[in-house]
Amino acid sequence: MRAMLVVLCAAIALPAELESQAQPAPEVLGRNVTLQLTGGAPGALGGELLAAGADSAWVLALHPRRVVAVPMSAVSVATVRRHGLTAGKGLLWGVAVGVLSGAGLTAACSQVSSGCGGVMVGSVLSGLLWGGLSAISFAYSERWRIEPVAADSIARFARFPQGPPVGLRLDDLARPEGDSMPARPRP
Amino acid sequence: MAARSRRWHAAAMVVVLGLAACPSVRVPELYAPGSPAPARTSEPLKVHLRSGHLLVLDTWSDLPGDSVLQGKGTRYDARRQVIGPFAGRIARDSIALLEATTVSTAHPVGSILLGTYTVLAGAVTAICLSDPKSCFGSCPTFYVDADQDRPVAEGFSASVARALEATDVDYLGDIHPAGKTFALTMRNEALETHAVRSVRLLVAPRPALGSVVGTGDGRFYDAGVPLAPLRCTSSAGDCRDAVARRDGREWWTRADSSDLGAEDSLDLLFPATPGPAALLVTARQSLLSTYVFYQSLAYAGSRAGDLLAAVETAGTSALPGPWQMMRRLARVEVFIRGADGAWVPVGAYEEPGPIAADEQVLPLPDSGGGPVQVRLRFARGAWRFDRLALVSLGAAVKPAALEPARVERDGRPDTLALARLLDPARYLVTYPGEWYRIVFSLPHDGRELEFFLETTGYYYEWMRTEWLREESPAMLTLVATAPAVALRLMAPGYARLEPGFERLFWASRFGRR
Repeated sequence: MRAMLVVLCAAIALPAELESQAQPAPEVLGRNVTLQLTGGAPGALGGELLAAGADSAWVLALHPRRVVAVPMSAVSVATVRRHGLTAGKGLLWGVAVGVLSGAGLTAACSQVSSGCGGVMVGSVLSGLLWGGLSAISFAYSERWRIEPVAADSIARFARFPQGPPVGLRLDDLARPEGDSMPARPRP
Repeated sequence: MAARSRRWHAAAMVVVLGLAACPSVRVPELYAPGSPAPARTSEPLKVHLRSGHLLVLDTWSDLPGDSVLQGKGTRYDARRQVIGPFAGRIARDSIALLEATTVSTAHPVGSILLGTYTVLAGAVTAICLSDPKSCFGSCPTFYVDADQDRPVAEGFSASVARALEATDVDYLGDIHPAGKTFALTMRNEALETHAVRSVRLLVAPRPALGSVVGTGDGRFYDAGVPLAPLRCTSSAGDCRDAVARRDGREWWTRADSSDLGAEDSLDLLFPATPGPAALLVTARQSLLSTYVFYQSLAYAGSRAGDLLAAVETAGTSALPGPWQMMRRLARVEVFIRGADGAWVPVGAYEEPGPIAADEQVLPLPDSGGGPVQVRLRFARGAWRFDRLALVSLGAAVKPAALEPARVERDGRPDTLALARLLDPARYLVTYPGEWYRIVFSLPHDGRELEFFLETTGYYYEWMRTEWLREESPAMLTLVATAPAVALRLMAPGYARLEPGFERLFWASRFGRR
């Protein structure tokens, strides 16, 4: 019974830990967004949503770290992080349970039999299957999809929901303090 | 009632875990600076200042007359670096927006899936860890090439010491391979040493209708088409559908949770049959007897070797109590109803082993040409019945006994193993994880034959370290001197394991290569 409680507690604690890592409290930054762009520069732009105005949205992209301003008219769809339990973490959870369970079963097996190598493999594959199915669910659940996109619909997820603060150059946020580079809307 | 309660508990655990794993969703709500501050919640209030700074207030209150908001919290700059703690008043005209957060819970299907998986995996792991004895097979198991997952027979399950060496005959059911060779894979899937004196295939021509059937004492007959019972009644209700056909759908009940020796019975009514008739039983034991056997070894603990040695020298008379106990569990007594209404014992069905169902017939005395009423009496929860039927017995049959033509190990011929199986004075000894493919040459096409597997040998259990922890001289004494009492005391432990025992058993056969 004690072993069962340990396993269950570990199982319950794991997703909570995964989510807590994704949601530092208090949440002071903008949400992670992905903007689908059309027009002159089609593609997707992802990063922290800094601000959204009537004409433009500003995103702090990470690779490379830079502030990108895009015309609102060029954004067809926006997806915004809804919760921290992502598809990857769901898969990780399934595999982790599979590994933990496999370790326990292998230990039990080795007490009564030999040739227990397949137990761990089977358990991990089982974890992959369950985690994979869950990941599909989380892939749909983890983000809001906003379409059509307007300032009103996405501004509340921004670091500056009021729009770019007067006197603050958003580009500066991507660079060490003291540096600056003007942010320009994409053509 | 207890089982129902446990199912509810398990379902509740899945739901609780699923909900515990459900992620929280934080939705920001914006308020204009002139709006009254939202009511206090557990979530902080964010005050976005026109400068780009952010105040995160843990406590706050409106001061309407002064057009200010008052609160305590933390101040962040535009980079969201902490400037320091904040306590004081904020002029409304410096506020760009107020942001409150509402928190709800998302319920993606994935959370329920992961919750369910986690509970199931945790439960299986915990049960196997707490009682590894529940996670292994025993005695030699035999598989056909086409299905290496489900054994078709198990050999000499009751022969747990050399003194108890026995010959076991198992009907191989609906196996009729094309061609003139037939192969079986013999596996040792547990921590046991198997000493196999012989493995022979008994074959007989397959009748045009019906089949060849075998009795428990080694006689064989041509038999007609099996007749399903007209009626089957049990303590759990109607059982006819479950036992009418050999389809793998078994009739069974759970063991008595307060006495593993508690009796149960099935009453069957068959139509009249011409000529001599026999009761055809396709059944296997549940894991109840397996549990009792291994639990008894665990009670013996460090003395288990001594006790088995006593059996070696004096036979079962050295330990009459345990054998009486096992016999009680491993026996289905058969009665027919006489003309005077009394139930008359006519014999017993005894097939040790929970792995593969065997089929045997028990010839019945002449019923006088009328319907036949049969009662089976057995320990509750100790048996799983696949088919119960009445057959007309035809002529006696003498099957041909085929010795192995070839033995393979790891895909290569093993002439030494073959020689040992062919020499009645020697044993083929196998250890955990080992397996042999035994090939027989058939006298006719396999589709024209009925197959029985005859195995002779014995096996030794390996003592497990964890069993020593359960050593109990008091319980061992009870097993030896008052087996009925021991069965009552073992009942709660088995009741805890029973719901998942069968599933665990099949899911955790080890020693495969």
